[in-house]
Amino acid sequence: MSHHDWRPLRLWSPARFRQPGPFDGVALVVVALVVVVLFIDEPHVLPRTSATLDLAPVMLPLYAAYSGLRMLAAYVLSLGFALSAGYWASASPRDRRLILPALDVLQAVPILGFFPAAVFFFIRLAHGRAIGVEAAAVFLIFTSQAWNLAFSAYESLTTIPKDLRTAVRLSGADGSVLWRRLLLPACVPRMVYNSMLSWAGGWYFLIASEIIAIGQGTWILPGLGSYIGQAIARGRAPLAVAGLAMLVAVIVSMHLFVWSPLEAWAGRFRYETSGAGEAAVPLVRVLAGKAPWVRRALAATGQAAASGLGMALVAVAHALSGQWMRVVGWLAAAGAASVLVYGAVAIVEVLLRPLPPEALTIPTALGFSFLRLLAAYAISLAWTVPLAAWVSRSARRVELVMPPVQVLASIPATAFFPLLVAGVLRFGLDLNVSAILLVLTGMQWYLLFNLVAAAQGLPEDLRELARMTEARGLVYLRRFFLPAALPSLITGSITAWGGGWNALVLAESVTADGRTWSVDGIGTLLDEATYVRGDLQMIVLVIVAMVGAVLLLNRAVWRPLYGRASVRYRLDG
Amino acid sequence: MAEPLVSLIGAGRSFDGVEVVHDVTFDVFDGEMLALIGPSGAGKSTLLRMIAGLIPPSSGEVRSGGRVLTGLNPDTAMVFQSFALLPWLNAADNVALPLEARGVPAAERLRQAAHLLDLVGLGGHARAYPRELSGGMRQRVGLARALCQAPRVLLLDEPFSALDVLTAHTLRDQVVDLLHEAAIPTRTAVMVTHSVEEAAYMADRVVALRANPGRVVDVVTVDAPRPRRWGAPELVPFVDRLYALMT
Repeated sequence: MSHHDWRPLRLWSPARFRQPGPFDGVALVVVALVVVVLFIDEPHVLPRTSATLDLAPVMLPLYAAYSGLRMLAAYVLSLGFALSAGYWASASPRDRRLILPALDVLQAVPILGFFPAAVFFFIRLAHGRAIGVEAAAVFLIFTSQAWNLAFSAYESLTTIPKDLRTAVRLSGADGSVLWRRLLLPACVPRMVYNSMLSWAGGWYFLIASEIIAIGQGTWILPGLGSYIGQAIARGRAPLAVAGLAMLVAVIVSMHLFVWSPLEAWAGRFRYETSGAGEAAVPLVRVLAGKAPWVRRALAATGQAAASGLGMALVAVAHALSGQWMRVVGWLAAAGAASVLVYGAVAIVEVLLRPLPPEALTIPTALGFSFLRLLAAYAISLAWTVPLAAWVSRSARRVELVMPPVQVLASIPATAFFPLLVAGVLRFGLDLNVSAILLVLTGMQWYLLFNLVAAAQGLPEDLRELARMTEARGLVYLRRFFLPAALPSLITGSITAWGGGWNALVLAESVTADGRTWSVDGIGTLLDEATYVRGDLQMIVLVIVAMVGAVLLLNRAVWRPLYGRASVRYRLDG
Repeated sequence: MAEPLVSLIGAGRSFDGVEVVHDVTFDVFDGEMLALIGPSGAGKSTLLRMIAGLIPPSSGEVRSGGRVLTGLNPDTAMVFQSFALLPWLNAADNVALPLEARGVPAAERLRQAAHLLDLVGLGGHARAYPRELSGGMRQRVGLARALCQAPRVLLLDEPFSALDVLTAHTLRDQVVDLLHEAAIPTRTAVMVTHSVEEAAYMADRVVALRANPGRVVDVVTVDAPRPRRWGAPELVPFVDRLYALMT
């Protein structure tokens, strides 16, 4: 029935696969142009010197606050972007055909590869002041938060039940009443859920951006990531552990006091009045029992967080419903046009140069990197599929498994990178081991979340059938879970590979014990081109090769698979 | 005969080249309850939405208050089969939505909403959220919201089909009573239904439609006296007649 069209929330939605088009090629070119523009001025080398940071543990709360503020700034930007893009795409079928594939590509390309470029750009923009590095970090986090939020806004707006739309329209509501009473509330459930995922992704990137600690001696981003990185670099393991503990504490308390109350509150914005997942019990209530003060504190924090979010959203909505949208649109168009022209000139110049000898190593490097991704993907599948299948057998298991998993997934593996590499080096293991492990941390959660969403979506009657036919183990997996979960498995795989390529940039070349350890791969090539030689041509070639590989994989493997799976294994007839 | 409130004159509608409604003509007169009845595919809901001004006719015209309709019809309000309540607003806020859209201050909105909720028998539930209400209560909120717009013509889109038999029965009587109630200005209604018994029980006139494309077969005047009783013998001839028309 159309007015009960509320499916389990997914990070990636099937809707986006409907419009394969020539736009991907255009996007590839645009992306390449942007890189060239970002890199266009000499010098390109940013020496990777470690600036000093006060490692006294008393400074930790301050650093946590710095990191948190960066996240918040990026998140507010992301929300504004997501609502604008989502509303725009939902309101204009013509523009939608451009916006959705653009978001698709942006989500799939390894953004971390662009980080050095972004740092150059923002530092120049800020005339060499530290604020430029800050802006680059915020931008990087933004790129990890914005796309899935935009998709969730788009989906929320397009899945408002038709009768509800008609009723509100007939009541004469428009402008700010329309936004306040219909559009924003409709966005709440998906956007709250996706905000949680966005923050998890954001932490990953934040820590990465701080650990890379780009700067010319004086530039440094004080924060938890840089703290941990510095502690490791100076061989102060206990301090690194203290930093990690602080990070975990921040993330856990965000779950307890922000996400879990928000999620419970978001329940009232669902259309469905009964059914799956309606009574999401906040984790804090589970942990702390039902003491009245807990409940009061919970209600207060939930209210505060929600009203803060609400105020930000209403502000954005006001901007959207007014002339602002047009102004922003024109500005964006003007910006894009100038980048295109400027970039077109530059890229011709870069590509007309004779290929450097290193360019010949790109295909092999790409192959090695691909194998690492494949290994990490196999490991991810090996544990996420059985777990999700186990979870799918009863609704209770979801409630049992998901809260701790959400917290675990939010803890950015990037914070553990230095420790992990130090461990691998100490035990004399191949650096490939650490590279694969690092990539794994960038892949596995996407798979798990999508699979669990599918597990939740398994119809109750199929569950009962499985129980009554005593289908267990492989039979259950083959006949029940996998067919039902296949579309989710594929969308999860695409996101996982996207995360994997990103992690690759960090994983293949690591600085520890005062020297750089690396394995052959595309991430190492990028690293060397950026930090060692400042070779613009190689940077462009490597990034284009990597983006091309990602898009090719999506086109040639995932999309056809998805097309077939979604026809054959539909559950909603 | 008095001037009709709403007239469809040769109205037709196609979607993507498929004709859904073909050359439909009928009037809605002040103070009557008009039922549109027909099998699925007869374009009942489309006709109702044409009267509301939600769907413009692709041929012919729809007149309201003597003028050709070009946009939303300000003289109508709709009650939906699915209730179409905003789940995040309580009953009073749902009812008052049309007032809020017009910029009526909050205190005045609440006063009017409370009054309307009283009228539909939901006094005391003003602060309840839709999910806390039963199906029948939700549809009462939907009814109150429609009445809040003080429409000259109330549009009912299969308003009782999502309700259980007993609740539907009570609510039918309530709608008929409300239309005869002096406290509200609305006296006229157009109702879409697929139940012949329901049409005969509630309506003054019934427009019988046939499907593919939707067109009028006949207009039946149900001149049985009120108050009526469900299944009363005096309704049987009308029920039989309508069945005969539709099959």
